[in-house]
Amino acid sequence: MDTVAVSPVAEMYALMEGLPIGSWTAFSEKQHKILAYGPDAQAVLDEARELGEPRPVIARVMDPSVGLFL
Amino acid sequence: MARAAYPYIPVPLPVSEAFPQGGTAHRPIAFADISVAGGVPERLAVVLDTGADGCLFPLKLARLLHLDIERMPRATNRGVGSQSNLTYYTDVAIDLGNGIAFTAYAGFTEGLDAMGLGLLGQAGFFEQYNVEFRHSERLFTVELA
Repeated sequence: MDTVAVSPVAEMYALMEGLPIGSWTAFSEKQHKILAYGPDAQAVLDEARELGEPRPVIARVMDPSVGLFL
Repeated sequence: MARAAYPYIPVPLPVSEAFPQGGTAHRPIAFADISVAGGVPERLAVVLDTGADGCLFPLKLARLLHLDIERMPRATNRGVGSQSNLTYYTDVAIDLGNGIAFTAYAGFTEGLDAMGLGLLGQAGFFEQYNVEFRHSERLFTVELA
């Protein structure tokens, strides 16, 4: 069984701390950083791809004071 | 047979009146590539949500995938604390990596835009995969049913 030992998901959310709530972010798993963020998701992805990340992860900065009940 | 394990994601929770010490939420989240026929996949975080009837994604993702929502069949959905949300449906390919890849008739709803997360629910996901939540070990496993 393949096990993901170090989670890139956890790394991404840690890097998103402090960014403006509601921003869209583009994360690079290979570069281990947030390459771009802003109000426009498409623009954020475009910027990340221009910076050499072909598979950026799109995410949104959530309000940390609000719990998640889906 | 496709089988994979993923770690829970620890998310710190702030101090509040109800939780004066704060806390940590452990969420079953993984990255997934989402695509539609002939299109370029987009990658985002998805929550394994046993309480969700099906697979749902932010409406913003539909636009990133260049879907024409006006031509998609729609339905109304509701979650905790939310008003009903119009949801647009189509077939999507979902790839969690590690050999866990499937197609599902999934919805796109503005109700998830604020979170920027997808939900993998009963129809499409849990009906195809056996999932074991091993919270004490902080990991969950996914295996083809």
